[in-house]
Amino acid sequence: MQFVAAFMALSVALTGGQTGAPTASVHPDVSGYWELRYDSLSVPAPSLTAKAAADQPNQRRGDIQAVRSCINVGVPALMEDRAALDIRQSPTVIGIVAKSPSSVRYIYTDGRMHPEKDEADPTTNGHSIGHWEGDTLVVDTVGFNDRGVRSIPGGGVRTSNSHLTERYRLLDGVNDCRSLSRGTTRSFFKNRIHMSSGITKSGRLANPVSTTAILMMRSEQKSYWKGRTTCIRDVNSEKKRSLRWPFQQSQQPGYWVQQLILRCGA
Amino acid sequence: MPSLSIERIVATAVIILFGCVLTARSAEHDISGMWLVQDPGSGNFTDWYNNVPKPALRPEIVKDNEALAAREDAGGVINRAERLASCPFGNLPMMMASSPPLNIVQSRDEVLIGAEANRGLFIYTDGRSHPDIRSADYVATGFGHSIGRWEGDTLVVDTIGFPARVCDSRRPVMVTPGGGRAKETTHLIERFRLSDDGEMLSITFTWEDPTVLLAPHTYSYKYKRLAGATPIENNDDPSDPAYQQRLLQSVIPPPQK
Repeated sequence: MQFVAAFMALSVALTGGQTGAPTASVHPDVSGYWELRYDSLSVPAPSLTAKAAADQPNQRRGDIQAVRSCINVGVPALMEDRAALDIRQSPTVIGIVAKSPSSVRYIYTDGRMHPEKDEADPTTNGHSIGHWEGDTLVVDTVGFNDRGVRSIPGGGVRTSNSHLTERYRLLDGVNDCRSLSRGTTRSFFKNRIHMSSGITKSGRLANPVSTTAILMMRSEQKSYWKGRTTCIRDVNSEKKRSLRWPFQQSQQPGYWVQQLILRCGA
Repeated sequence: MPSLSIERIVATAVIILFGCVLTARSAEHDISGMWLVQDPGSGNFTDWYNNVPKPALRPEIVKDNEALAAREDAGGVINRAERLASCPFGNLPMMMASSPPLNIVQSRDEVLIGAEANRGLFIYTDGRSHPDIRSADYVATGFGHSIGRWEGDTLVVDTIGFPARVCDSRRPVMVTPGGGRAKETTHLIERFRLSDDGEMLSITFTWEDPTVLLAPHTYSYKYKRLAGATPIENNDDPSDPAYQQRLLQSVIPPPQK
């Protein structure tokens, strides 16, 4: 019994009585590298106002200009980045880093409210606060500005009046690259991305240990991209190969190829 | 099979408990938050940047610094370097000294440090080692490659892999506070430590590079926690006429008193 008593005393001494643990530890940890699943861009079309629907072509032009200018793309474009997102979770704040030009996105989980409108400048990412509802992180974002890439998947546009609610939840089997890719091992997939028409799937995750993504773009776009590549920033030296510029000419006429090495897996 | 004596059980439990305590150390010292560097009143950024103990520089670096200063004195204050895709992004020593607050997010196996200018610096605390920075696969950035570990209440960060050159016609190499250099041969050790009340963060920088320094160069910054603050966004648009005007203004000296 003396051993047990000594053990209990030692326990209290070592932990400083903190066995009651910070609440953050009971929540799921979404930290890691997350790669958008290839079919995630298939989203339902929204009901747009007549004005918003009519403005879609103008909006697309605005988005193209934003990309050409290398200004921060902002939310929601940041969340659909083709490269893996780096999500980092602390007990009080979550940071999200995309490879595309963008500020780091912060989601405050320390219980604060949104600032008053006259207390914070609107930004392309807006102001995000989050709370946990069971195993789901519910994120509320306001305070957007009218800059960056404003298109919303499916249709519509982000404005200074927009209010975004996101729900983050870890799926079962997250270590499987074929669902959501996460973690530290290198994996490879094969995709062809036609830049002029957006992402198109022509392959699937081949296996969970090695991946090659092939970015293809028309040769007539080369001069444009050559001058704009500085806006493509590496967020992680592990994805260093994605910075191998300029493009090498593909054996397929009319295309230029860049190889990306991304990471996913457990 | 050995018998499970109570001593053996207790010993095992103590070992496990020690492991848990060590694992929890980083959580006990959570440096997440917004941190504003404390300038003692240097007056301008250049003076602040050099407001550190003087490094022991090699003669050729002293000479190079004089050449850089002369170039700036002659009006070479605009970066005319071509912005290529191969240009390294980021500048660790400048970011850590700049007035925009650091936004630190400490996760279980990585510490993210963001600043206003849409950059992200990563410190891997998952036990990995540095990559081979001499490999053709390694692409250097101005943040280098950082790995960290906790030594008691101190986060010790080890960084290598800075770029040999940067795209800046004024200073084609990264200059560290006091006039040193951060380049491919440079090794940086940072020590992050919270004050007891958690309101101040001290970072001690030690630069080592025998091609630049005659002895390691050490200095410290203190950062104040900004509770509840929200970062602003640096989002300059070159096609924005207002931005172009601001650019011009930045190189026109204001009226002197």
